[in-house]
Amino acid sequence: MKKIDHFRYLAGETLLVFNRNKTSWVGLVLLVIILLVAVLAPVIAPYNPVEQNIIQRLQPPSSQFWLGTDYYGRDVLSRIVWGSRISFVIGVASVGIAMFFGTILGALAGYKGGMFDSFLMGLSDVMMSIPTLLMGLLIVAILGPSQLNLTIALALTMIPRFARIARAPTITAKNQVYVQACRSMGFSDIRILVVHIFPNILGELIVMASMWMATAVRMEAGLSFIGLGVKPPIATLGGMIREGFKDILTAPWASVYPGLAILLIVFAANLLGDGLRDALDPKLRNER
Amino acid sequence: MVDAMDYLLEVKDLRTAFKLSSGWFPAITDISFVLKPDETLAFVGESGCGKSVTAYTLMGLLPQHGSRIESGSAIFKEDDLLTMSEEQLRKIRGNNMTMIFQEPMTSLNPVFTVGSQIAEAAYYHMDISKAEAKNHALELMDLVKIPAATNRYDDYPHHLSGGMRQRIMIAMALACEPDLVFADEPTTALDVTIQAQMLYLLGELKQKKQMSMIFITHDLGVVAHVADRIAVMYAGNIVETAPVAELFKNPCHPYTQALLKSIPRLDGKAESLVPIKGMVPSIDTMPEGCRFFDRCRNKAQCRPDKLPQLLPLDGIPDHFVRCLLVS
Amino acid sequence: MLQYIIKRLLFAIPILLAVVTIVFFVVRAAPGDPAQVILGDSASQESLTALRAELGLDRPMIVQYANFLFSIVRGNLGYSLIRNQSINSIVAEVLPFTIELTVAGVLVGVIIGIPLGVLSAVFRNSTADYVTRVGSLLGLSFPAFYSGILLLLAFAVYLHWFPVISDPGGTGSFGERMYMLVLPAMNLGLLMMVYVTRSSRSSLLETLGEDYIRTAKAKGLPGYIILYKHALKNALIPVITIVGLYLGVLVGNSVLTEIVFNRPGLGKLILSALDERDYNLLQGLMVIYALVIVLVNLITDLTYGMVDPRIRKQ
Repeated sequence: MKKIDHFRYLAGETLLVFNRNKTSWVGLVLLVIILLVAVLAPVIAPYNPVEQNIIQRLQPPSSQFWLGTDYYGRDVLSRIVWGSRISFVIGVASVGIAMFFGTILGALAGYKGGMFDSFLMGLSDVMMSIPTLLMGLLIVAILGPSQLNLTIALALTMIPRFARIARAPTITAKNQVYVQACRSMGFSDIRILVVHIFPNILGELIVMASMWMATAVRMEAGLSFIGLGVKPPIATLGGMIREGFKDILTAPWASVYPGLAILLIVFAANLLGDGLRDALDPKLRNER
Repeated sequence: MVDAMDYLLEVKDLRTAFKLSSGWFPAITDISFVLKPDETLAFVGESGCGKSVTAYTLMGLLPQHGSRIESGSAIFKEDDLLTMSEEQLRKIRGNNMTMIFQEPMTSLNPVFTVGSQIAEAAYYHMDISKAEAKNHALELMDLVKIPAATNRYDDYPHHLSGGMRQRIMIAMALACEPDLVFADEPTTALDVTIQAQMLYLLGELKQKKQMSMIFITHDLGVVAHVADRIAVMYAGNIVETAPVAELFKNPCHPYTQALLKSIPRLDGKAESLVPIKGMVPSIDTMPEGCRFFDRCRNKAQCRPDKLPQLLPLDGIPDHFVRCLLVS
Repeated sequence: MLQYIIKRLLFAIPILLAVVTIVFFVVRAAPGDPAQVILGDSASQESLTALRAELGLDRPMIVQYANFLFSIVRGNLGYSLIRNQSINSIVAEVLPFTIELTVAGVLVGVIIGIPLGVLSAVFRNSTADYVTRVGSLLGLSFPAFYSGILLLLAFAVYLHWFPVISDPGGTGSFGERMYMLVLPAMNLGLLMMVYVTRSSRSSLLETLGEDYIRTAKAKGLPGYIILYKHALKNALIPVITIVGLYLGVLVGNSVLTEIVFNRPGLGKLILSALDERDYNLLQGLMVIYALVIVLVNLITDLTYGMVDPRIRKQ
């Protein structure tokens, strides 16, 4: 019963936050559209994304192939629709995994303190000092390119960042009187973390999730472009650009349109995250 | 009748409003007072009563967004501070009219040396070279009794103690021999022992430099030492103003009386401290009538709907009170 | 100041050590036998064993690790058996190109980004501010290889201002080399520019609300002095951190930029190392990258110390 109240309160707050910042609405609507496209890919895509048709190859955009065809005569639009599905899934899954493990590790580090904390934070410092793209590249190179491995690699690069976010407010909250009161009353650590600390960092986590989802999609595209993405002939946006880049002078549509799709997904996630951050920032709140 | 030219500053009917989410609300209304050359006027009141807003309005330091001056005039020497151009005001600010702030730590720029920050004030108003400005700054540092000024010149603000920093602020304010200095709670952020030193220094400098001062404080005890006149503010209004001795001897407004009773006395008379009950109305919930009505101990004899004016006392023309029960 | 530098240096060593360690063990975790990779599938068991012994692969992991650390300390990144060349000399050939590109990218970002950020902050909530903010968010969303492709299409293919295939490795003059650098530097600088614009805007806005800005106003200083001297010097301190922080991202993006513009450099080298499964080279390159990042962080910290007197004298 109490839980329902809590969530209703959160929902109300969220709506307020969205109304405070119009750009976050734009980002959210765009993301929902992209999500629909990704989910409905089998229905929407006019052609089979992997079916080759050598006679029709490198056709410019026309009424038959809206965005043209690629080197193997595959419909670019259909491949974009299916490719955004992969981008979206990898983006959401990797951020989800990173958020789950990162938050738990960070909160525990902050809550427990001591050696455990020093070790985890030291490790995250080290991991964050390696550029994310190189880190991802190294991990995929070792694990081998596949959708699952890409997701794991991206999640691994993001875990330290979420741990950082969760840690600082946990330390602050730990020393608050009400949390110490809970401890003295013998509530379990897990319960205290979930009930009292998690709600405090939820806002920032959502902002970060949105921003890092943008980065994850961008990195997935980058790795696919390098050739470390999901293996062909499966359509991925980065992989399409990789293949289309060879014909950039004669058939720019084969690489420009998939790029536009990446840009749109990343931009939408960034709009959402940036807007939410502005709306949640107490310093900026009174300005408007 | 006194000739207008006898006043250094003459403020009439000043009204400044701030923007809240529900609209514009005046923070100060109907502020009128005069200041003679060499005079020190103290604004006293609780935090949020509008004493700092008054000073910031006159200095032109209100935030650009979210505040506006709705009426009034402020004749400084011969010109109206409120209608002059920003450029004209800039030339007066720091030159003829300066301000000492409450927080010497945050009010000094952390990335410039303290000496250069004093020299800068002189450099942009007086027609002097950078070297002359530096010498001038060193003299000022001597004047505010900073030991070994030449060694301190190249120090950064974080090297100095709070008291030293406030001396730097004072030196900065005095750089161009101003006619009027606003001191916005200049001692509040300092240790008690340093407070006394600072008040002594300010009094001494005022004598030496022949300037007027508007001293803003919430501490009536401090006022007695430095001020010639006191203006007691409550909820954006001046409720009583009189020369220091007169006000302490004959406080007429119930708020002033309550305020005086709420300071501990050190002269042995064991009167109990009386806190003032209730809260100051916030600026978006100001009553139509007397703003002190809710907290006034005489409210049984009074009426809530009528707005009192600031009027002189019978027989004492230098003592003004804003109360329906006092004539 | 000297103490500060030494403290920072000492702090950098464990990070570097940890990165090197992680790289070493991750590379060791790679599937496949390096000896097999070198000799091919048809190699005999004896020759494989012989090569493993020669490479030291038959020794315990801890010994290999110690040897690896020891050679790195001596400045030796190892030997690429696939290329039959020392990694030091492979890296030395292309490193100048990557450094040149990265430095140019940072310069582009800082030189364009700071004025944009200041403009955006000073004219806050104006159309110019709004355009800058949405534009910077869009810039933030560009994958580096895609912005590179669009730049190529626009300036090389359609406008013909630059050659489509640049070859900075040729015998060209300095001017020609810089000419070849323009598009890649713009591409790499775009992201830095976005970060710098955004951080200098928010930092300047925050600074303009500080008490000492009010003091400067009360002193009657001219508006431009308040903005450019008092506010900007304080506001740029956090921007230095941002530049240092995102240099890592820039280094990552340099890989993509080098591929799109077909420039020699560490990025292209890393790709061929992956293609050839040259794990020694991969490991050496990662160490170089880690070194660069740690060095950059160090320089950032030192710059910070020089600009902010509060840190310097601690």
